[in-house]
Formats: sequence, C-alpha cells, structure tokens
Amino acid sequence: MENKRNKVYLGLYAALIALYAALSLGLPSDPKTLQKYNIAQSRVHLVSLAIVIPLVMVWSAALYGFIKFKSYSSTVSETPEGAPLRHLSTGLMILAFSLPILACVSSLSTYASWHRPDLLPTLTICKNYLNILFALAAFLQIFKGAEGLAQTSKRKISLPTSNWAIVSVLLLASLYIWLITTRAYGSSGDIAYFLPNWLVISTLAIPYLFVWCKGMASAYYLNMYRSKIRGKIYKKALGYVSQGIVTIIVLSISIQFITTLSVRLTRLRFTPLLVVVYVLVAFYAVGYGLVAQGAKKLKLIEEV
Amino acid sequence: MSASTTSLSLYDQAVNVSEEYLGPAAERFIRRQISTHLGIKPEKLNPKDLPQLVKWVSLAFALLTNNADELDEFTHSLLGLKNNRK
Repeated sequence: MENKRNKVYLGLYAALIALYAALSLGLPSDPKTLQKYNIAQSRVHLVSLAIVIPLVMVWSAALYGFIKFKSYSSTVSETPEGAPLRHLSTGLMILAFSLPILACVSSLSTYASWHRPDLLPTLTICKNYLNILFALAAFLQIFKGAEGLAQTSKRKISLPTSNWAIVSVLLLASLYIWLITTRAYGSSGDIAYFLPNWLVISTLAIPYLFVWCKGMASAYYLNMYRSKIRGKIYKKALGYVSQGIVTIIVLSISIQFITTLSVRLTRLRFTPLLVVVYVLVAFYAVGYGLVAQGAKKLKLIEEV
Repeated sequence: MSASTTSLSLYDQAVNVSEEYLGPAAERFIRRQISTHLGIKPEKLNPKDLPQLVKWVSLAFALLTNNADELDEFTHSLLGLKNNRK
C-alpha cells in the first residue's frame, strides 16, 4: 500500500518537474530582452538549465523528506500522535508540491508578460491567489498537527500571550500592510497585483498575516513539545523533525514575504533579490533533509 | 522503593524505565519485545522473564543508539526491576 502510494507521489512529481523543465527550456524569451542584452536564445536556455537543475534537486529533496515523514506517520497512525502527525504530513506534502506547481505558473506568467500582455493581469491575479491558497492549506494543516502534538504532551503547552508577543505581531502586520499599500506602480497601473488596495489587503495581505501567525505558532508548539517530551533517544530523533519543520516554516514565510513585496524590493536591485529567493529555496532541501533524517530514526524506534 | 512503584505491574515498571529513553514510543517498544520474543502477553511479564527480555531489548536498543553508556544504563535499570520484585 505504501509503495503504491509512493509511486503515485513520485509519478505526479516527476510530471510536474518535466512540465516545469519543458516550460523553462521550451518557452521563448522576450525578443526585446535578447536584443537589449545581445544574447542568443540558446545561451538563455543554458542559463535556465543552470537554474532548473539545482531547483529540481531541491524539490526532489522536499519530496523525499515528505515521503519519509509520511511513512513514519503511517507507522504510528493508531497512536495518540497519529492524527497530528498525519496533519503535519499533509502540510509538508502541500508545501512540497506547491514548489513545482507555482514555478510552472511563474514560467507561464513570465512568458505571458511579453507574448500576451493582455493575459498578464489575469495570470498575475491567479498566481497570487494560488500562492496564498497553497500557503493557507499547508500552514493550517501544519498548525493543526503541531497543536495536536502539543496536546498529547502530559505537560500543558499553551501559546504565549505576553504583551511583547502581541505587540510584535501588530508591528509586523502594520509594517507589511504599509509596504504593500505604498508599493510602486508601473506605467500600466498596478503591476504587482492588478487589484485595488482594499482587495489586496483583504484577500492577500490579511490571509498572509494569518498564515504567518499560524506558522509561527506551529514552530512554537513544535519546539515546546520537543522540549517537554520524555525519552532521550526519541527526543533526539524528534529534534531533527521539529528543526526541519521549523526551518521549512521560516523559509516559507520569508519567501512569501519577499515575493509579495518583490515589486517594491526590486527598486533596489533585481539580481540580488532573485539570488536571495533562490538561496532561500535551496535551504528547503536542508529543512526537508532534517525532516527525513528524523522521520527515519523515529520509524526505526517503531520497528525494532 | 516506594509503595506506589511496587503497586505497578512489572510490565508497567518496564515501560516506565523505557520512557526515559523512548518517550511516547516506549510502551509500543516494550510490548513488541515481549510479545514477539517472549511469546507472552505483556501484562503477564514476571521476574523470571526479565533476563530474556533484557537480552532482546539490548539488541534492539543497540540499533537505536551508538551510546554504550545509555545502553548499559537502560539494561541495568531493567534488570534492577527483578531485584525490586523479590
């Protein structure tokens, strides 16, 4: 059963990777850009390959980490930790699959920006809402799992309600909404969202802030659960898993933060921003790698 | 040894000792060792079964940790339960 399920995941993921590679290497670049930088299309494809290959390796690490964690969560499905671990596993799956899906949409969006400018607003809006939907789905599952795990602990774990925590969240929210609403406008109007401010705030900014709060709460629950649980060997193995998931949560939030403010941030310089995003994406491999390592150790405890 | 500890069955005490190392997975681990290798119901564990149990537990435990001190500590704690039941 597990093998069959893994084959489905692998098959779907391979199809998405193939689609992304085909789009990245197959779609032509903007002729104006090629002319501006005096670069041949074949050279651009070579450069794209240099980005596609590392990205595919990172995504494969994400899929591997999810599959290993899923395998462990299936092993303990009948235990009190079973249901929370299943939710965590679902959240990790959504995040892992969102990577190639969103990359494909991004490739199409880039192509549309010069080939079919009339489609750009629609594609941009779809891309933005797809991003937030994936983030919402993934983080709600991860939060449900982290909260559920914390509830299985014999020692009570609850979220901090100190004034500092509340003020920090409010400051972050205010800063983010200010940055979004005072973004630069392109010559064709709102090039970031193609939506009025009130809609951007109510349907993108606020959901993102909600997602980030859930993400931070999940990280807190996981760290507290790990610190309060008994069992030196179990704790060590769980440590890899919780560190991995916290890394993934932090990276995800950072990437979402940067990409939703990308138009504003690209006023500084384009190249460093893209490099920062790709470096952050590469660290997904670290996060999922830790999850895989921890899940393998935890599964071994259940099998020996 | 306190009265509250001696009132627990040997199986419960073994689980208690294992929780120091295996946390929430301890009970499943001990049940598995007892039912698979001793062929008895876990709740029926009695002092004469302990040496055999410790032998299998130490083999399994060695797969989970490279720390020889932890392994020794664990097996001594389990064997110590036999003396406490006399």
